Amino acid sequence: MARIELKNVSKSYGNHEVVWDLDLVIPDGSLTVFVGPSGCGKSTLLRMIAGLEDISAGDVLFDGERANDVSPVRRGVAMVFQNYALYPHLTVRDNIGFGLKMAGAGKDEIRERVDEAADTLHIEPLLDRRPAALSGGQRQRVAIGRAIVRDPTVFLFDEPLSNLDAELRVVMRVEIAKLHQQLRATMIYVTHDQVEAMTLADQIVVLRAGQIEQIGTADELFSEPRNLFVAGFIGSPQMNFLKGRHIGGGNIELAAGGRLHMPGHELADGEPVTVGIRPEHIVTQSETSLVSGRVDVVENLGGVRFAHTTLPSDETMVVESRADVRPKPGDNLSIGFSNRHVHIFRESGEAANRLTESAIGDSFRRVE
Amino acid sequence: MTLGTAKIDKKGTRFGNTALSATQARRLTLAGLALPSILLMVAINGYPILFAAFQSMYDGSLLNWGEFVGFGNYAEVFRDPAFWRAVRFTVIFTMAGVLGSWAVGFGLALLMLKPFPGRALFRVLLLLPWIVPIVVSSMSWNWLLATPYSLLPQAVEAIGLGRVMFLADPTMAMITVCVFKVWISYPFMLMIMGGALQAIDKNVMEAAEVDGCSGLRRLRHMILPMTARTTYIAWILMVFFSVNDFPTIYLLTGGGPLSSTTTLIVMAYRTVFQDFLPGYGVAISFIVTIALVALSIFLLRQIRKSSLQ
Repeated sequence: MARIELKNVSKSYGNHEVVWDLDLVIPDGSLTVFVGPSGCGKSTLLRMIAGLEDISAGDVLFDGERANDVSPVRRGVAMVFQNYALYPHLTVRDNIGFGLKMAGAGKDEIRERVDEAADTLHIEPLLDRRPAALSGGQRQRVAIGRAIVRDPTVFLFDEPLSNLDAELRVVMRVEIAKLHQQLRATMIYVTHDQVEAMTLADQIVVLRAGQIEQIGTADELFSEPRNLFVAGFIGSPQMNFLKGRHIGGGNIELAAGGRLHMPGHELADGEPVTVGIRPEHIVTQSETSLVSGRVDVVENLGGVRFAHTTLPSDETMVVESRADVRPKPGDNLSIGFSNRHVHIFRESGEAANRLTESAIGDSFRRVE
Repeated sequence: MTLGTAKIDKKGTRFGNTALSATQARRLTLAGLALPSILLMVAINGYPILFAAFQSMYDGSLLNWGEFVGFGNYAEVFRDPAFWRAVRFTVIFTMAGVLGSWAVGFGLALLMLKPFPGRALFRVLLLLPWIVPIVVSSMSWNWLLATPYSLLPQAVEAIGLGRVMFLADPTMAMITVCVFKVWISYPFMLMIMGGALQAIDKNVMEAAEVDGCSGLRRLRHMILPMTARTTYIAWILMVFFSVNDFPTIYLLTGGGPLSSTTTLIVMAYRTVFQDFLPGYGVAISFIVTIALVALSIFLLRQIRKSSLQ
């Protein structure tokens, strides 16, 4: 168990900054997920915590002690790689036991602890096989076994499920969540998949271009994204963004037509804004409609349908509809939403500050 | 999979009046396709081998076949102390060539893994001994070592090690020939082992680092086992290159002094073309061939047994 702290950490390759002046605390026993698009520096950050990558500037602290120059094994980290990185020439048993062997553990102790780990992960029948004879899911279990057997202070997962098929990914995701509950160890998990991030994390760190965009729980990121990037990245399907302008008095005129009353935001008169609304918060009943959209495509997922629509402003909008409404391509949908679900972003991309919570009403708006 | 225009399906096919299973039909197709090259190989390799086999059973000269002596030449070869001296030096020369060039080549390949300024240039320079024709390199080694007034003997004398006869003293000549062999052979090992090292998954090495395996332990537990297959293959090839190596020795020492650097292949050459005893010389070559075939079968079995990766 360990509390990890990053202080003003930077990483650059030549002139290319990968991570820039980053501060972060990973609480003891938490499962923290680094999420972001490829190239955002999340893997580099993880590798710096592992000790596999030098730190260009700043400090990494393990339980308050500077660990910049401490080797991975002395930091007590264990890592699970995206491509599993099993030792091809060793059996599963020797793969799992290798770290213990290197640490100088006795044969009996290694055997016992490997058996224990194999039991936890249900891989006893595989112990005498070599990695080449295992399926992707089995290899991933072995890789996790190799990590847990050493009883590390920190578990590091570098996109561990990316190479698995969709079905297996869900299974392994649940297993990793269980493992965290069981071990209560500090875990850091890197993924580009926001669903993985949302389902696993105690704390999500959203990264873009080597900087932290927002840190928070899944709920916080979902309901209070700090900027357009986080708003667009978290949630599936993506949040809809509509162009608008603050015309004063908390009234926002949408380019697509219609007007929203959103009092309590710190906005200048005439300021251009982006209005964000998630597909699941859209209501398609006529008496609450704000704008109308023509349906282009409908994706039917069984319990829910996503209608991709085009608004009069040529903006696109994805609308979620439950079983009772069945939009068809070519239909005109009346689109409305409660302003309590609306996010307002300024031109810079930052969410507009709210002045007071009480000023916000809860009413549907009609097309005006 | 179908081959060429041969129609093969799961139910099999008909070949003339005979019904064939799919497997049989496929085998027949493959055999048919391989036949022309097999015939060519028999014509090119088989005929001379057969001819030589006959020749090794006659006691004639280069001009006439002489009398049939059966395995007489072979029996005589095995009684000849010169043969056993040549066997001894062939083994020494081969071991030195294989292990020496492997150690040097693999060591350099390991050093070349990490980037450093001028690495690309080094890579080319290190291949030079291999690129330069052996006639040229043996000549330059001769200039470097052959007489007491050459560069290296002068240098050795200057630092007070006395007069060393690199090619004139039998033991020194053996060492010199072996060192020369390592020098012209290590680039081959550098290329092959370098390739094997490049093929190691970087993440696996990092996983080993996280598991606390670094330095020499990394070499022993990770790098050597993961490149073992390539190592074995490179060794087998270098065994052939060394046992069959005629120019290295012939150009540097001609097999001397006092036959100290005569390998079996040099001995066979001299017996046939200097002593004009083709039956005897060819018998020696046959013994070498049989020994090499036996050795390669053994080593290939070892590779299969190791079944790494």
